[in-house]
Amino acid sequence: MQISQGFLSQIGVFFAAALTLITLSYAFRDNPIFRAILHLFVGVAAGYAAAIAVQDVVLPQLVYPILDELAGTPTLDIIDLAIRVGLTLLLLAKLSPRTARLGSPVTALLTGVGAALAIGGAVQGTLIPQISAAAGIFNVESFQLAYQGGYYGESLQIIFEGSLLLLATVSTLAYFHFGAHSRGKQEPLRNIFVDALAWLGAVFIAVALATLFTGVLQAALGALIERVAFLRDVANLLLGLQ
Amino acid sequence: MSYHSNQDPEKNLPDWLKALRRQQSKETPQPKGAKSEPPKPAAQEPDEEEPNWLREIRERYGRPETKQETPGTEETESPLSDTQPIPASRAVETRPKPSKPKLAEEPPAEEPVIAEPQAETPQRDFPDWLDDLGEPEVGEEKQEEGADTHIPAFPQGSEELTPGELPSWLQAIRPGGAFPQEDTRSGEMLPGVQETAGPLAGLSDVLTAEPEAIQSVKPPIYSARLELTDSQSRHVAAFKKLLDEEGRPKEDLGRRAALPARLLNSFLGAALILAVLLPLLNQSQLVPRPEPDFLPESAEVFNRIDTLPAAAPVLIAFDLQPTLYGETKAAASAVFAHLLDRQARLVFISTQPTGPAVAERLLQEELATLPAIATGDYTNLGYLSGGMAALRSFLSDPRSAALSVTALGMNPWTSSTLESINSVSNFALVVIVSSNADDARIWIEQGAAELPNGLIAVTSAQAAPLLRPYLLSQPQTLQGLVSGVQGAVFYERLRSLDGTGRAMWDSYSYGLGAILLLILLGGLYGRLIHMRPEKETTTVSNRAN
Repeated sequence: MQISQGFLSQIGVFFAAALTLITLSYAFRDNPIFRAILHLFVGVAAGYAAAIAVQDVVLPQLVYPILDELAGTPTLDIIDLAIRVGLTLLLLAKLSPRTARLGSPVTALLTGVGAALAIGGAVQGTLIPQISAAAGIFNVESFQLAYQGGYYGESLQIIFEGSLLLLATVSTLAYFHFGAHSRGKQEPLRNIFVDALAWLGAVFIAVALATLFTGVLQAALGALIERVAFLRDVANLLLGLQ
Repeated sequence: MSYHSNQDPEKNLPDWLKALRRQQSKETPQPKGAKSEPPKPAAQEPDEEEPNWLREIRERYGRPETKQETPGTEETESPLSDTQPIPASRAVETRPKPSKPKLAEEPPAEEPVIAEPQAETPQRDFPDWLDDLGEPEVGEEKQEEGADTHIPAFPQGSEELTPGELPSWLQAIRPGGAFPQEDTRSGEMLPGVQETAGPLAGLSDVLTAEPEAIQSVKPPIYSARLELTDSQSRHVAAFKKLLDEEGRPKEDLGRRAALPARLLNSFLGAALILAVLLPLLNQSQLVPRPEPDFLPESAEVFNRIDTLPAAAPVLIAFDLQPTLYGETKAAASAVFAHLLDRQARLVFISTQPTGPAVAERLLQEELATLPAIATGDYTNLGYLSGGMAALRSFLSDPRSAALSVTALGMNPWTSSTLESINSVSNFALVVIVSSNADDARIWIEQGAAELPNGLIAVTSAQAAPLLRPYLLSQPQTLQGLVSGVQGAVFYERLRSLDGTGRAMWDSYSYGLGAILLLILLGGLYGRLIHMRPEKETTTVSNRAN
């Protein structure tokens, strides 16, 4: 008996619709079926990632070259293969507490390389460009052009935007300034000017966090719409409307 | 061993002792009513049937009377003989005899009695203080010898004896009347007194078996009521209340609170789903789309793609996770459709294990009708394993990167699309499709040097706020951004098309409106709930004050 591809596709669609309904039932009440589906999702994701890692990484990068080498038809340089096998064995030594120290050099290599790349990338791709942008918040050239051209409103807008960005940057940095003067036996007190800036910085931080929350809410709403639209399509399919 | 007071000890005697008693009673008639008085050992004759142990006791304790029968002999023991050391030959079979309390002329008990070796003329060896006491009278001496001839070890009734002086601290803790003030030893315990009952009746210097020895003094009656202070009473009441509450089944406050909360959750869920579902069912397109100048970063993406030359290779880093595929697919499909419309040659790569599969799904679901997708005129390099290090390697030298597709035996670099690509900068455009801001940030940071023209991003709405600073950075590392349903709708408007974004736009708008309304109502409700406990708390605190 041969099962057609279309039949399997329809089975998959109905199964996906059932899983979607069970997942949406959590909005009304937590239930055991939802928890079971949750475990199913986690298990499927982990299993799929593991299968991909084995199929696309372990087998072609390590196992197949070894088999080719053993078969006398090498596809990799012997030194390259020896390095791969050696590093793999050292990393596998981490599985046992007795031989865990043997895997430390490999772990140190991975950690060191990752940290170096992260720091270098952050400095080059984030810090320097962001600092440069913050240093140029007052667009002097645009302001001069607008002012000389008689566009006083635009020039004032440039000043206002720059001032707002400057105030937000300074006050946010002041919020994370925890230095305080000692007052003998009394509790150390932060400078009143820094304290006022910190309060203002808290406002800007709250706005930033609210923006992040809004983004998460929008993303969730978009996902919900896509799932409801999918259920609508399945219902139309069942009812023969599509 | 104890006896009941109403029990006749004579009845409990063994037969042989009863027979002995009867024989003794025949020999020494006693007055009526003197049943308990034992016969004097001196009047008893050794019986042949008498057991050895009893004979030994009689021989030992019957000696004074034997001596009494022959007064004036030299073998008469000294009155202080019991205080003298017992010879080794007698130490085993005799015990030190307790003495009967003497009269006032006897030496006080505090003074030590020095044991001296036995002399032929004991009276000559008496100490001076004993000689001063004088000789007892003969009649009195005979009377005393009938009972005992020993000097008492515990003289009782002596005028020279003074009660022991207790230290003040001991007197302070001594309960009044609980302990006797003087020697309370019963007369039976004193030396020289004969046992009057039981199998040892008639024997002297034995521990009494009468109930007096085991009689217990009636203990003082203490009050059973505890005397508590006010503070202790309060603590007791608090502790009792605590115990009572512990045993009582707790009121399920969680259930009481869960029911309204569950109803509220159900209401919120139903309202949100209805707000989303109704526009989808109606397929309404009533909500206007954003104005063209509303999202300049998305317009920049449109401009860059719209100016691409034909058949330009475009690298698409597809790091979209399946969880947010539904939300991002609208924006991604809009941008991909534009790219394909511009006849760009798409090259997909992913640093996520699930990325290639999700990309394939998107192409097949949303863009399958386009010729390039239908004919498979695109390249999927697959999964780039190794995280940040692998990405850096790919950006530095794409051809040397360990790609999954090359591991499967294929060489994509020989295709017409990639044969001219030797570095990442050879791509006409680099597009990041990501649902996570961190994944996009890694591409931006690591590609800052290799991508002087920057790149564009198609992301989820939740990643957009974190990526916007890169739009304003100097140099600009992110050239354009399309995010979420809003970005998709805007992009479709720029292209004057109605796609997936437009179909979702009304639901998206109504859903956002419903969320905004629910947040406002929830905040108002929470404020009201918050105000009510404050009043109660204030009332309680006022009462406490």
